[in-house]
Amino acid sequence: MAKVVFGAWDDRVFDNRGKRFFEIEEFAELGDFREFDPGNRIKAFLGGKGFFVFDNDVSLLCAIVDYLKKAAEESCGKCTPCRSGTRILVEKLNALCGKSLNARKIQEIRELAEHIHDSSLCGLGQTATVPLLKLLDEFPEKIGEELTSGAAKVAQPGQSYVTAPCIEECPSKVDVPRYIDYLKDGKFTHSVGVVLQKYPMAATCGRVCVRFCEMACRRTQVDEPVGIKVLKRFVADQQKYASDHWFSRNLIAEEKSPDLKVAVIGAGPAGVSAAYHLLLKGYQVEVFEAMTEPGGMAAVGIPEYRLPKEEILRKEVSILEDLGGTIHYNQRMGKHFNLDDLIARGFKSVFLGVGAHKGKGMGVPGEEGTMQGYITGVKFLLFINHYHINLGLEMDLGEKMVVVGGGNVAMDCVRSALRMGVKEVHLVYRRSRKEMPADIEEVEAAEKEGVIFHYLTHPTQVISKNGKVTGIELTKMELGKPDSSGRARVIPIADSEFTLDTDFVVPAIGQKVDHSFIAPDEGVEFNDWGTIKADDQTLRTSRRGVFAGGDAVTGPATLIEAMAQGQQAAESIDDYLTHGRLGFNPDRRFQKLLKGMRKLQTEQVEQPIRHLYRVKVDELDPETRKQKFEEVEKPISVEAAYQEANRCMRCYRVYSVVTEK
Amino acid sequence: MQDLVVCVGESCHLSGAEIVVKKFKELIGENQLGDKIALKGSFCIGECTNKGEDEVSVRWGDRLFHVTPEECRRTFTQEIWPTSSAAKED
Repeated sequence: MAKVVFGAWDDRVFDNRGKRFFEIEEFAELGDFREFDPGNRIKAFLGGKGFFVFDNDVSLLCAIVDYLKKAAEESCGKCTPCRSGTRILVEKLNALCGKSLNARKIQEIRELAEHIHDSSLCGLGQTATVPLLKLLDEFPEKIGEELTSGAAKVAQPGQSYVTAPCIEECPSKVDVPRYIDYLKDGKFTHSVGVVLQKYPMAATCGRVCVRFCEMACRRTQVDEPVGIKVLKRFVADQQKYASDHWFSRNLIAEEKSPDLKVAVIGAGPAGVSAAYHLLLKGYQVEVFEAMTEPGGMAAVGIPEYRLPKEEILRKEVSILEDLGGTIHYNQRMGKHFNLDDLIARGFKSVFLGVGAHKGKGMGVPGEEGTMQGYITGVKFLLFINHYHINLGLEMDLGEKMVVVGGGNVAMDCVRSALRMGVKEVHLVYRRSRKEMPADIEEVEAAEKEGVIFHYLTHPTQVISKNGKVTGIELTKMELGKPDSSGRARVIPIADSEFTLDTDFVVPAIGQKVDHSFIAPDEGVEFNDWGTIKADDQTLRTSRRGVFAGGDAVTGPATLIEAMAQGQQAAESIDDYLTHGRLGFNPDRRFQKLLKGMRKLQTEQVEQPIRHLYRVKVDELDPETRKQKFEEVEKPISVEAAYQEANRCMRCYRVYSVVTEK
Repeated sequence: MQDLVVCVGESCHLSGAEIVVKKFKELIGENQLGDKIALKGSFCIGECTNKGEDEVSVRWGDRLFHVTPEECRRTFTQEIWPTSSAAKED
């Protein structure tokens, strides 16, 4: 909801200056631009593609000078147009103020701005002068108006924000181009440091992240996205997964009062991230973990061949202890203690990062009750990781197994089953291969390792004898017309039932939050779909002082989303414990603004770029790897890392708003 | 070699199966029985409804025990070890 008085964005020009305010139509594609923080109107918005003015009394020239100043501040200094050009441009624009319009000076300014736009090496310089150029091209008379009215001299309140498409897509907002930059310069420690500002699990994330950043990478338009995940793993591994001596209580800038204790429930990605940020802010933090291992779903839900637990995950979680935190293992909330016990023990705030660990059933006859040979996917992974890998327990899983589902958990289950020595592993999925939600890399890996895929097949009954699973009855399906969500409906084909003999049936079709950690009278409410009800900006729950994040709030999601929520909750808890109420975060507001105008953000690569394909990651041979849980992806060489880092185009963008106060 | 199978199904897991596994591992190590008794895990041996809330099901040959983590040592020294092939050799 925004009424644009005038503006220019990309190749579109808006001019409603002749109209009265009520006559201007809402420009829906922009999202909600009425207020920045409550009671503070947005008067103008500037970005890498142009500007919008929502209030005619704003001085656009002034706003552009502030915008360029921010860009000059951000300039890395490696190319002259961006480093010096932006500064000279600011001086020239300032020199205009208080004088009458001089056509020759304006021409000089235009030439300099065009030069910076055309010859800067990265996205920052290439976009820094766009708002100015748009003003000169589309509204040349506006400059004269502002100079004669004296508006150009007034300082205006506002905020600016620097980001890039990859940063914006990352839930944790990791400064991707910056860590790639440091890598290019050979400064691996600095590079990891950039990641560690956001979360402690850099090497873990470099192995298992789903890479929202790479999906947003503009390099895709030229050849292939930059291998952001591979590079993160590279620098983290180079630094031995964040050296021990990096972290100590000395890092903490300001110790908070020792009675401000915070309890974190769950040592999973959300809990670890929350505890890390709270510790860095100087709070006393105690983590309570139900298992005897840290890592939560990352420890039990991700197989060893994708994420070695001993040398990576556990080591990265131990940062919490280096920072002075305590982790209590084998402490299950709802069994060993409850929320009121924590409050009674002096905890002033509680973070619930309990995850979504309860597997869903298939809803077919024959699966109710306890039965040997039937286990949900996430539990299956948990037990293999926990009992087989961590505790070294041998397990006999029989000869044949059928896994039902098409997501990443299903892929992890089939690949783990092969490694446990199951001879014949079947995967049953009710749609076809191209509809599968699992990562294509995972599907291909499972195919290579010899999993038997049954597409367009759906279970109808679990068959058992004397309490032990003996088989599963399946029906063939066909794809029908798309439903309201656009996905094709699946219709069973009549009389196509068949039976597979199997020792194990593993439904891997989703997880939900296990509610046993809390009693209904403890004041924490749940949503209709079973996740904890939490405010999306602050993550506070319905009970005062209690915050929640990760899968327990979002439902089954990713490592990076959970870590982002952990950080967000830590900021809210900090606000709550210092001010007693939750504060306003301008960066988050910018992120919301940018999300709202997504449709206007399509990014074309304008500058010529040399084609250079992405580095190939070597993998263990499929025949060898399916017999063991050794890590499949091998590290890349230093040369390959440098080459890959050089593919980054540094698509930095500055955004700024002029506000009322 | 005889198998000592600890149930690691959901119910036993919640009752502390991992502590039981660790205890048995220690006991096997202490008594140097690593080549006589193989500790194994199993997904649900179907005893969930017969055992107590804090008990974990353990199968030793054709016998079944329900043990709490605290009872591991007693069960091992009094029930399991005396009936193992290792004891008969001694």
